[in-house]
Amino acid sequence: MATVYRKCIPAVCEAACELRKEAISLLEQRGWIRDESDRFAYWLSLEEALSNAIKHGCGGDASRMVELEIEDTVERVRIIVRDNGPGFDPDRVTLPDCRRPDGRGICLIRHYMDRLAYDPELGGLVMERVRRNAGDLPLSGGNTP
Amino acid sequence: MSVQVIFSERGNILLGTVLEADMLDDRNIQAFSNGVMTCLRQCPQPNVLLNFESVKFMSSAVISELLRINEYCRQRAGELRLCGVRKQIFEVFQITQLDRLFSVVPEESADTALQRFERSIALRREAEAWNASENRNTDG
Repeated sequence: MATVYRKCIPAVCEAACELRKEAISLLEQRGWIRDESDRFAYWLSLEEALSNAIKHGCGGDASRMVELEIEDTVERVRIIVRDNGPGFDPDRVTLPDCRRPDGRGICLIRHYMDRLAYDPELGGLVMERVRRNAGDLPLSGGNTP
Repeated sequence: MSVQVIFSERGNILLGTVLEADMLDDRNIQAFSNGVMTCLRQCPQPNVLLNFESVKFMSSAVISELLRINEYCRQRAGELRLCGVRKQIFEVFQITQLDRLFSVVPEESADTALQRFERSIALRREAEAWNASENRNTDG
């Protein structure tokens, strides 16, 4: 896979929102976002993964850093979120009881992405999604959230 | 990004409309929660309908807040309902199985949801009155 985007930010939610915005714009330009359904899937997955990295990976410490990397091929995009935390196995995260307020982000990413794993070699949480329509050409511009 | 929740009284129901934000996330979740809770604290039995018509994107942080608000209402014999929920956001409720906890109908208008909610409150009160009368008869 070829790296098409890489950026490091301080672990604060304002910076994460700007990062998410840039990533969505890039995914749109490269043809990964074709409709509102794609946009929602990437928006939510990025939001949950970055939020998780800030809260749990960095423990809410704004002096620590979070890195986002995007790689792709013609048929697959890979999004890696790195922090300095110990890492975790997303397969061990299950949907909590309906009255417990937290712990649903990973379950949502799992639904919208085709692969979700913590990869020690890549050093972060890895999300992959295959292209829904391989014949699509990349879009330019659009309404980026 | 700022967010405002404007409340109005509609019969027995407090209707809260989310304004100024098409996305609810970590940046504005606290403002959203404060806006709702400030109004709810003035209400002894909060029956609340939140209108999400303007919201296009919603993260799990919002779900966490909704669960806390729901618990607050439930403890005071009230209820939290949602309306104007877009199909993509409704899917989030389905994935997290919270469509079983909240009364959510995708893309339901505020007017329809208010009518449904009013009927439900009327039935609930009728049942409460019936139970109270049964208890009195049993005690007597």
